[in-house]
Amino acid sequence: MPFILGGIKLSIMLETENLKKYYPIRGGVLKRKVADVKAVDDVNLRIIKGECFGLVGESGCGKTTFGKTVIRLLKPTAGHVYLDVPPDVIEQIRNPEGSSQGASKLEKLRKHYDIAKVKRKKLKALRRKMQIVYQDPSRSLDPRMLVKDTIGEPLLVQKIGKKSEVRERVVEMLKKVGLGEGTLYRYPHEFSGGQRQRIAIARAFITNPEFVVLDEPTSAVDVSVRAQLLDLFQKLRKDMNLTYLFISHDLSVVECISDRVAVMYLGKVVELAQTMELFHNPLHPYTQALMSAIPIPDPTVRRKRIILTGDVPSPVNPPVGCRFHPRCSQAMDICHNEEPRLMDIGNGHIVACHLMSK
Amino acid sequence: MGNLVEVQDLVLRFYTYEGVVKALEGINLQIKEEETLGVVGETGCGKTMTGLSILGITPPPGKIESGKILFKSKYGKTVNLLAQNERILRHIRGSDISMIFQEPGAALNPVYTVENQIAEALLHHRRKELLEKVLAQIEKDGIEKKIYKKMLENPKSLTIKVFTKIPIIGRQSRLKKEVRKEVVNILREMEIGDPERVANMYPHELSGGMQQRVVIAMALACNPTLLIADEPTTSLDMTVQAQILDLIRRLKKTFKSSVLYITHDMGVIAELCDRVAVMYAGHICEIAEVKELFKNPAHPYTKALLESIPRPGEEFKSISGMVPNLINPPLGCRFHPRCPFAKPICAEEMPKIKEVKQEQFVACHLY
Amino acid sequence: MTDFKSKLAEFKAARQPTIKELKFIFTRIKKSPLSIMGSAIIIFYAALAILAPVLAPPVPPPMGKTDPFIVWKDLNIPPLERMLPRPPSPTHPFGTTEESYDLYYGCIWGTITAFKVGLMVIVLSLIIGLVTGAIAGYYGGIVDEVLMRFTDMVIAVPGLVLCMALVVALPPQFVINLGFTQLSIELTKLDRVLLALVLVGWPSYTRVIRGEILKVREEDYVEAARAAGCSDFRVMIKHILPNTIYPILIMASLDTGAIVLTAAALSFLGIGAPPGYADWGQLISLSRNYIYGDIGNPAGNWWVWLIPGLFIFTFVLGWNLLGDAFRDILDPTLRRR
Repeated sequence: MPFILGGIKLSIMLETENLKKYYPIRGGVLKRKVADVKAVDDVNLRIIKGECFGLVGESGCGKTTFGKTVIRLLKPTAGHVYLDVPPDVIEQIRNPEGSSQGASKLEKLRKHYDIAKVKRKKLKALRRKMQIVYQDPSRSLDPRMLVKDTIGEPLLVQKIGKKSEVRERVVEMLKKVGLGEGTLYRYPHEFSGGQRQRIAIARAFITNPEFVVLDEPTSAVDVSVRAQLLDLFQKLRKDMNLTYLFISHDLSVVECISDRVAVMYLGKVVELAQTMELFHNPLHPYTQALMSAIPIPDPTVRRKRIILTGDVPSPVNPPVGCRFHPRCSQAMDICHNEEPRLMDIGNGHIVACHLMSK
Repeated sequence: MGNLVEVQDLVLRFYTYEGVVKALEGINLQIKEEETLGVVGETGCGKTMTGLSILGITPPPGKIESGKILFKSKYGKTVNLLAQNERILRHIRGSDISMIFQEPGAALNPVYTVENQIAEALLHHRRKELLEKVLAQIEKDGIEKKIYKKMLENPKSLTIKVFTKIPIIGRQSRLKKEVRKEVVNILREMEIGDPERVANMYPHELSGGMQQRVVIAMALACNPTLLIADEPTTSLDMTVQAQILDLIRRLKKTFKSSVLYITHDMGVIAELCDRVAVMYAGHICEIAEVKELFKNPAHPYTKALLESIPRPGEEFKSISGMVPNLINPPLGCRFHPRCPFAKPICAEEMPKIKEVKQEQFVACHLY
Repeated sequence: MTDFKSKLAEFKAARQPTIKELKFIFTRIKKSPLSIMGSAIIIFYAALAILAPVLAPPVPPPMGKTDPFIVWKDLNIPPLERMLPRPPSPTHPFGTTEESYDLYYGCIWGTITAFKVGLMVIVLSLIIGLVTGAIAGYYGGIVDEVLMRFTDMVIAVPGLVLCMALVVALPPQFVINLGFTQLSIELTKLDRVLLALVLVGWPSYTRVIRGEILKVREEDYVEAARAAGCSDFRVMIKHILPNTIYPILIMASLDTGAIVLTAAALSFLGIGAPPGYADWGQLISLSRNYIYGDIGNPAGNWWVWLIPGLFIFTFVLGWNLLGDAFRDILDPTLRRR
């Protein structure tokens, strides 16, 4: 069914269905699989075209794994990922009995559109449309490649334009991110953190992608540079008609740039809402604790802290029932046994918590 | 409350291949007793170097050219840390002044247990105290008592050195038990649940937050009067950061120590600090009480820094220009190329720090 | 005209980073006296090798042979005294060894042989080691296991013994049947030595590069290259190898000396270069019977072993110092990166 938010039908850029990414743990002499690290466990998300979708959570919750799995840098263990698929095709894939085609045609459609299953050649062409910007620019740029080669490489690999045009396009992209032509023949280590991140952004955006995963792009830079980068992201989103998946553990940054935000805990989505709604009315106890932990740059305001006890449990053996219940101050009996389902509270606000059913 | 630490005109230079990096140019700073002083600034402004200079562990090729760092030691005597030799500094490090760093995993030795590492600090600085406790416990006047007495009186004697190396007899089990009790005590004060179990664990078995607590335990094991914290929560999650900040706040009251908290996060400053020093490109722009700083920032850089914090619904304001290269910093005030209020004098003369209001110091030609 | 000017400016700008790198390397070399010494030694030997035809002009038959690498014998000495070595004299600056081979000529042209042996063995071992190590390190899994166990097997056999066995076992002629024609490759004795050294030397490079690749494989920029759509081959050549090559270069320069030493050892044992060939080890082999002089005069024939020995010693020393210099220059922790 088409996605309707606030009465308007919107087109979907990315949709994941029952997405799972497990890492096997091998033990013993024969290195047989002993257990799984359930990094991403059954996540269903829809990202609207043109929006900036924020994904927050703490370390170990699976948000970075999700971001990388969705653009097929990691191979999903199970589930489906549909990038920019027309809604009628999704309709067909969802209701195979209803459509007139048989199962084999369905498989063909899946192979064609499902990022989790496409073959290498189609994947290479798809890479043009989806890109990623990493957190630490000193590690995401090849220290032995000149800036012009680093930025120009996607063009060469994707065979976009003629070889003679590459330089012009690189210079054009550099101008768009606010760097001059003098940066072409230098190495990344000669630049500051903010400038390096701009180079990484130029590299990611030069193929004119449609969907960009931003994996904590502002965490490794200073506060004043952060504002510049966020401004740049907004500008580029408007100019190039992009959709963002903004992953971060810094809620104050997510609040400023995202349209909708999802909160992840131990591989599952626990809450999803429009930004203002989530920050003013967090319903899940974990979201509430997260919100209360944000340090406010105002010494006159003393926030009431919800201090969580204990540490994040390991994703190898997540607690039975609601994964958050060992640390939740409002845990009930049912929380120990049954995993809560995601429920729509209204206005696009979705929560997975037994407290909602009261 | 007097001054615990007084930094006077500290100048630090790095002699590198590309040139001389003028990292700190005449820093003047005071840390009072039992207060939390925050030092905030961007990458490369010299805040970490200030902390390292106080301890005397600036990395080569750095050299402290001039200046004084006056420190009031536990015995009441005020010494100039820069004029002391290495032996005295080693006495001070760990027992009077401690430091905790950003990456707790890197600060802990992966091949020793937690207990071992905290015990190392304890045995180095509080050995006499522990030995006295052990001696008070032994009732019988035998060889054991004699050995411990000798350890207390003449720790460097040859007999002690030989004795401790003998496999079974030289075990010093009483001392070890006493140390373990103390370690578990300290871990409990760090709000680590089940400290007995944690004491036997290796650092890689602990989470980031726990590791940082262990590092703080090591730092506070000997009751230092000054704790230098260099961005201890930057690499931790938000909820864990909240826990650690809470812990530091509480420990400050228990141990009655001052904290020099270095960070680039204004939110943490607002939460934790009593006074704040703002640094830019190697010199101090402004020192003020925290409420005053946020309400009425005097220096243009402080103003710009506060404005650049992203706020929802508003446009993103950033500071134009870039942090200067410290090999060739701008003449005069180092912020003037980016300052919207720059006057001609700003390009010629470095402003001196003045007291503008009660307890608010600014280094700017506007005043 | 403006097009040319802009192209020139572009060319200059493109060379800037390399120029900066070279400047940095030179300043680092200048700082350490040992590196200067090492570079000086190698440059000296290189000059010797290039100027060999001038410094020691080939002697035509009947005293010499058509192949300039065979040392000429002084037939002017009467036959009975020809076997004994003669001390340095104006006609023979370094003296002669057994059978009146001229030592001076042998040592000078031996420089060329030393370079040839050292560099060719290193280059070939590097190529084989790089390819196997890169494949094992990048792909991991069963490919890695198989390749590494095979490498382990080669390492397990003692090096010199394996070398000797290979030199003896390799055929003098490789005949490849291509159906319509036959390709036969002649392997001189020296070629067999080279090949044996290569086949014994490549495993250490494999292990080192595999280790380096395991480190670099997980880096963000490698993943970013894959996200842009790079093929495995491109990622390996353009991203992984340039970042992992430095320890290998250090190893290679240190090994060159060791290779020359091993080749000399093989020649001394008689399974290296043929007798009379201009190879330092071969020259020492010729001196086998004259190392100890007469009873009252033990160092009586000092020139037969000391002079070629000094050549070998300083040559290997130069490469070792150069290798240390490379390590100091290329050490990432000491670089200002």
